[in-house]
Formats: sequence, structure tokens, C-alpha cells
Amino acid sequence: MRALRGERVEQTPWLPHIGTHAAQLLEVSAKRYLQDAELLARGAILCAERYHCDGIPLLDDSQMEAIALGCVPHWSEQGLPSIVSSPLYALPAEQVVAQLPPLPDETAGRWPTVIAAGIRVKHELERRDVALVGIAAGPCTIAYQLRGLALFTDLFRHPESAAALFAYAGRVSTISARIYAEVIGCDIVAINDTPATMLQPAYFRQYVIPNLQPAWQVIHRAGKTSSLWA
Amino acid sequence: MAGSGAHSIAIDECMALSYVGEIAKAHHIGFIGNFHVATVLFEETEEATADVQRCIDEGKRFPGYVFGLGGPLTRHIRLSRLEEAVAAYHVRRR
Repeated sequence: MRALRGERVEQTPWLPHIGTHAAQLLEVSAKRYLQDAELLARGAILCAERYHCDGIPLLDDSQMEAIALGCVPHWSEQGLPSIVSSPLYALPAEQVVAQLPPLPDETAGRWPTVIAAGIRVKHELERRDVALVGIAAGPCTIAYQLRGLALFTDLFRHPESAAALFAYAGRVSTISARIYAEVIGCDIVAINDTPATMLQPAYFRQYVIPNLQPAWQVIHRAGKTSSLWA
Repeated sequence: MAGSGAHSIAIDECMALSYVGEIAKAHHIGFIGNFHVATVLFEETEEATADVQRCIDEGKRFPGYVFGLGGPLTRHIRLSRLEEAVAAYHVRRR
């Protein structure tokens, strides 16, 4: 935790991005692993023990929030699900704001499964001195999954619509961060926002950074360590 | 990213770890990265331990370094190669 806050420590810690690797170790499909609290919990403990890591993600699936918001996934036996359609894909930009899905809470989508897995695994990892990591989807990830490639044309053709969508997505990221930090009690909460690396720096500063701030505030107020993954 | 307000950042294998280390140090934040996961995918690729050595050599020069992966582990990695890489990291972590 000290290293993640910028301090020099005696031994270099290690924290893996596990993806669906635990499904391979557990000899189950990725589709089953990602939707089963018992498998998620067993997978996190198995990876932590096998690779002697200092922190382990509970769930490494950036599609989780989008699916909870009504996006349609294509589940895979081998890897993470893909989003194949969204309520906002085909809409004219002017209608996007009016059609934003209701904000989720801890009863939406797979949250009950993830919370159950987190509660199951937290004590076991504490006993092993391994940090539990919650990974929330970032504002650009959620906005992109909801709007598809049209998001990038909206940025310059309909900037007000794009700004509203990023603000909405930032609120979703903050809700996820709160659930990981306060409900599950993760030691580290990461915001994974890989699609944000496709934005030019000016857009990143304008649309992503401001919409990350509420999530950082929630994480830091809970006394947890934050991380931005891209 | 470094100035976004987070305590730390994680980056993929496309970034030079020493460059990120300089930036992280200037912002007093931690940084995680960036072992190339492709080195544990196939038997014929370069030695995984060489990439572990690169990460440790470049990352450990800076405060706040955490050894991590450049991307998520996929389902079809060679377990033996991942175990070899993890063992190489444990030898070099001090």
C-alpha cells in the first residue's frame, strides 16, 4: 500500500491483472466463473496463493457495469464477454441524454454476486496479508460501451451530448468505487479506463479527469488506496 | 494520468517503465507495470525471465514501483512459463 502511494519500499510488491485466468486454474468456463460468487472467491484465493502476490483483483471484467446498465453481452467460454448492443447505439446524439439508463445500485446486474464473492474472500485474504483489489470501469469505458464508436464522433459533432454521457458514466464509476470501497471493503480500488487512451490529451483532460474526481473522493474518504489503470 | 488524482497508475507494455517512473516520482504516486503477458503465451517467444528482469531493472530505480502485468492474463497462457516468470520476480524483488 505504501508503494502504491509513491513510497520506496524494501521489497518490490506485485499485483497481477488476473483477467479470466482463474477460470483456467479452476477448469471452468470464463462465462461460468464470471457469474458465480463461489468461483470468483475461490479463484482470487487460488491466484493469490499460487503466485504469492501482494494484492489480487476480485473481478477483472470491465463489461460488468455496462451489462448492469442494459447493454447486451455475448458471453464467451474462453474470455471476457463482449458488448454486442446497447440502448444508446442507434440513437441520434440529441436523444442520448433523455435515454440514459437509471443509475445502478448494489442490487443491479452482477453486483449481488460480486459483493457476495468479496465478502467471502476478504477475511481469507487478510489472513494471508494480501490486499483485495476492486476494479471499476472508468468513465470512457462506460461511455464507449453505451454509445459505441459514435462516442468519438459525438466528441466533436455533439460535444454537449458527449459531455453529458461522460458525466453520467463518471457517476456510474463512482457508484462502483463506493461499492468496492465501502460495501465490500476492498483495500485498493482501481478505475480501469483503457479506452481513454484512445482520446487525445485535450479530450482526456476535458472529459475523463473531471469525471474521475468523485470516484477518487469516495475511495480516499473510505481510507482506501486508488489506482488508474489504462 | 499521473495528475488525475489517483494514488497510483498502471500502464501497459507499450510504455517505457523508466519514463513512467520519472513521471510517477515527480507526482509522488505509485506505478504498476508492465510485464509483457505475450511472453508467457507461447513456448517459442523470448524468455519470460528477461522481461521480468527489464521490469525490475527499470521500475526499482524509482519509489512507488509495483511489479505488475501489462494486460490481463488470458485463459490460454502457458502455466509453466507464468510460474517461471513469477519465480524470477520473487528472486529479484529485494
